[in-house]
Amino acid sequence: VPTYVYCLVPRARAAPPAGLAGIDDEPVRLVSMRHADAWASTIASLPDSADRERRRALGTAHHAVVASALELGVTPIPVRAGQSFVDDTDCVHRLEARSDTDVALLERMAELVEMTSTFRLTTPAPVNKPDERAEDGGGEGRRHMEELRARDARVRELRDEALRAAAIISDRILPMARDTAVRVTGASGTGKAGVAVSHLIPRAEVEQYRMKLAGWLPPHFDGPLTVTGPFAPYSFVSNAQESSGD
Amino acid sequence: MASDLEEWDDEEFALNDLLNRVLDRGLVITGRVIISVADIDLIYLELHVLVSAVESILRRQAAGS
Repeated sequence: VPTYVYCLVPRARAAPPAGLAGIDDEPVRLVSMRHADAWASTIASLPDSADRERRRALGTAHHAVVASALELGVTPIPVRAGQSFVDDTDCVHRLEARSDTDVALLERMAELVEMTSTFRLTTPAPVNKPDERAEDGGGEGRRHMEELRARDARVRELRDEALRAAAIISDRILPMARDTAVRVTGASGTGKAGVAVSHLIPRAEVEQYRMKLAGWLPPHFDGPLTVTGPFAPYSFVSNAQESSGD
Repeated sequence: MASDLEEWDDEEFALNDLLNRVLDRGLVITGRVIISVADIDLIYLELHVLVSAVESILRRQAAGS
């Protein structure tokens, strides 16, 4: 039966609470390895990537299990949603093959959690207006290129603005953050975006983070910050992986 | 799709961002993640470059203080 993994936790530190159900209401169990434990359940089949509702349900159930581990006082290393193994043996084999990387991650993330501040952003009108000469004979091709250039300029503008905003927010909690990640979800044609700034901070400083940022309205922002968390370090596990090859 | 973003309230945006993180981030073990598509159709920019840029700014600020 395929095994689905939610997260890794330090060895012998946190077992799933009795009755905890995961995807498709399957019971969550511990898969023990030499270097760490995994929280896992069985799964009949993974959803088709085009099945938006099932994907959403899977993501929600996945996160609920990871959050349960976090509530036990350990920092789980979240596994990206949507991965299954042939069975427990296959799961253990693959995870033990990368044990050095994962032990280092567990040690690096111990006592740290992810907090996220989200807000909206609006940039001024596009910098690059379509070239009016295109109307005089540049043709469709030229107009299209101008539109693409204007769109790229808008995306760059949103990105730069998001970076400036992230720096303002990070500055307010400077001593707390061990790492920072920024995501921009936007529509380049409108100049409007949602920005999420995630910080990796000590678990003991969660309340202080909230007090500093929740509801804060930085100058020139569209609205006050919404603060969520604590979460498992989703944003920083991927970063650690990518940078591990540097 | 821009209208989606405009219609979401702040809490909804935060929840969608979290869901995208769950589906798009975290350890990749098998090398074949079936669900790697962001849940929304908006232009989604995962700005890795920003991470290092922000860190550089923070380091400069820390050094200057």
